[in-house]
Amino acid sequence: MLVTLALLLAPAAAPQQPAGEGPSHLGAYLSTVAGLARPVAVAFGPHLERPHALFVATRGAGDSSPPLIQVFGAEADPDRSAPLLGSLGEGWLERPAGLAVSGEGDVFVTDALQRTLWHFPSGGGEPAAAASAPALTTPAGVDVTGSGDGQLVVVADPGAGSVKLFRAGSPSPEPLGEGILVRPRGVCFIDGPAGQTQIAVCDSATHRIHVFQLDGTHVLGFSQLGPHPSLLSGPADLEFADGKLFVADRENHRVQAFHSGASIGELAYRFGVHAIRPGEGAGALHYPAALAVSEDGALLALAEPMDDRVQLFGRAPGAEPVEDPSRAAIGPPAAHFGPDISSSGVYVATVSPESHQIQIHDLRGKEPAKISDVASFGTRFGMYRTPRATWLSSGGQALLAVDEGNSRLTRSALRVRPQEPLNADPELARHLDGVDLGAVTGRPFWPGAVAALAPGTNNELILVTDRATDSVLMLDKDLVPIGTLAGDEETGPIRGVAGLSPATLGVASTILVVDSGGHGARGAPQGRVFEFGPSGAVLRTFGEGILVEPDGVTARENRIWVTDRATDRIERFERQPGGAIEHVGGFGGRGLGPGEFHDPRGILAMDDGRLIVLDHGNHRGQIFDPDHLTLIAGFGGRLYIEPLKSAATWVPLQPKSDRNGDQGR
Amino acid sequence: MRNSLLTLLALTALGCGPDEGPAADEAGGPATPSEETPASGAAEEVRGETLEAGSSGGTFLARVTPLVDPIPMNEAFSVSLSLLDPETGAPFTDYDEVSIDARMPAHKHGMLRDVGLTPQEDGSMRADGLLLHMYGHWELHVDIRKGARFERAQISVRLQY
Repeated sequence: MLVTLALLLAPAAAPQQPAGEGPSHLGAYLSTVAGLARPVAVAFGPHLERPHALFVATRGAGDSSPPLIQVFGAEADPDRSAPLLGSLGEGWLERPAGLAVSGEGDVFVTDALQRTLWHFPSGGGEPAAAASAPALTTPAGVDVTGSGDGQLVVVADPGAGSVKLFRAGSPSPEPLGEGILVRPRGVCFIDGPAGQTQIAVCDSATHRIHVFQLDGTHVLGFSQLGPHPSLLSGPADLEFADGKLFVADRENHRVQAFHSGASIGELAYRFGVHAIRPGEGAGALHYPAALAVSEDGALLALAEPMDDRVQLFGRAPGAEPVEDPSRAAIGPPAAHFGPDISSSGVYVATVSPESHQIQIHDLRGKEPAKISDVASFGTRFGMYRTPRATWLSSGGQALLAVDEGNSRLTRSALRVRPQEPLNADPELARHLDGVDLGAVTGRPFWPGAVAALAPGTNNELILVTDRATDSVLMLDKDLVPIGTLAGDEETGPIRGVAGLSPATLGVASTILVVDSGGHGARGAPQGRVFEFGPSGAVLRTFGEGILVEPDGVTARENRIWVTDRATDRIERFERQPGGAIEHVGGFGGRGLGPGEFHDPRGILAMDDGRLIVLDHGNHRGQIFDPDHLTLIAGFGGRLYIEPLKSAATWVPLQPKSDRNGDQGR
Repeated sequence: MRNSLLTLLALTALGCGPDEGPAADEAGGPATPSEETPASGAAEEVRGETLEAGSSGGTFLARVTPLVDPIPMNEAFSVSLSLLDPETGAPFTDYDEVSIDARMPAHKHGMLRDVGLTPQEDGSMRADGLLLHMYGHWELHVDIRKGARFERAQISVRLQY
């Protein structure tokens, strides 16, 4: 993995300065609210006697830490921590994604799993679903302005490729940006010309900001992919304050403030330094995913779910930060392993979405050696925009890739030479053909995972998950759709489709599909795995009560492994005589040591028996001998694999109690 | 460098051999010089060697003839592009969109401009605005889209001193 410097500026340790006392800017680091279970959204608003309380939506980390909204008394004082004032939403939320608080204290929360916009009234009491499917497909960021009949609520809907504007409490929205937006994540109201209210949207697939009139008229779009000032990489959220648009430039690990008005789109300033060491903070940023600015402009909050924290920034003198030239290096975005891995023969393919490439590795040795990067960013056929998954077959000669920005499946040939000495080949791939998944299905399609059965034969079956509809599209060898996998009446629907993998049942092939949300009740997310037969019928589900937020799945012979993002564990299942699948143990837990993980995603059981886990949040992969529960090797970011190397290799993993109290392997 | 000889070569070595798996067959193999003569009616034009390659799925045959010889470095040039039915040799028209682009796979970049395609009376297309701004190995990508499907024919060229 590349260890890359992102845009680095001064760490903003300037003294605080109240607004209104000469030129000042937002961006001086104040304090950190730590120990939050994957904070995914933030907002400021009135709570009790505090006019600018900090609301934080957390995704949770299992039974002991359910999804909810916590309220803190944040202050613009570096010497005072933010006390917890209360919480709401527990028992209602499953996968919060966006958060906004009105001037009256009404709280609006989007839940991507429930496909719902929740309204928690300011006076307390039970929430109400302000909108749900089909008005919302996969809601993300949300903003609110006004009140009563003049209230406007806008929701970014990356599953639909549009934003939805709700007027005066109506559950029926007006879609905006169709045909322009691809994966809108963040949205906010801004002050336009002559006092008009407009809507600004950040699109994480096109890496652009778009501005719309309330009637849907597209005003303009600006920026594009890149690491340099004013360019963006995976913008995740935005907020309007100080007459500027503050953008959480997620994969550049910084915040950029753009002018509004006549010079809209011009960069005003930027702040944030890329956190290099594990857990580094105090102004150093690591994938900031959401931001909010208090009404008085005194505080800016940044949520970093990969580090379980919210950092608070205040004001500093001057119109913009002063750059530190000693840290002003600029480079392409850093790359995380994950969310997917595949192998065939001695070759392994990994996905690094922020690099917009698929990496091909040779695994003849103890550790994978990268031999090629496939494709580059773009919209033309043969290019990717945010690749999500890959499938390698035919001894490494055939590659499938799906990218969410183009909603495309691309089929490529790789010129691998396993009989020759290991060698890098930048021209390894030739792109053969592909299919526009949105066009072929006639609906917005959000690809997430891909696999193939019987590749290279006339019976080839290609499977692609669709996060917009929580189903799996089946295509034949000619890329023609031939069916869909989904839950049935007995199992209920898939909610939050994630990884998939072929498996075997006797001599037949089956298909495992991860249902990351499962059939759990509100407030009790419980994942599971579906097993589909060759005909597409549901054979069984398994993992209920064990899995919380499963993501990757892999199978070899009678063994099945599943990664769990919420518990940072790997769970192991075994097929029993008769076909049933039972949980037989697992290992893991949050940490940097051998067999410890942070947001494990892709997982792969190789033909030679090695088990590879993409330890996504730790910027590394770990290779295990699952028969002996030993770590064979680690690969990836130097600072993150040091804790593995400092331990002796072939370290036996400590068996951990599984969630049923049994001893797992 | 200006006086260097620019040569257009078919890169037979770049394709996969028969013992290297399905890539060569599926991709239609590397570009090879065509025995076909240039399209009639353009005898007065300077033309380079015609190259052709089958598409990955065998749906069409792409034939490219530079309308300049040799291909210049860092100067715009044009090519004649013909899509043919690989079995009958008749013009292939069963597509919704066609495009031609040039990339340097080893450098992870390509041309910095779009190429305009103009239909010709003989059924071919004239592609204006190609520009290869570096010496080295380039790949010409001829992509068609039919409905939701994409399919590519790929032709290797090398711009040499």
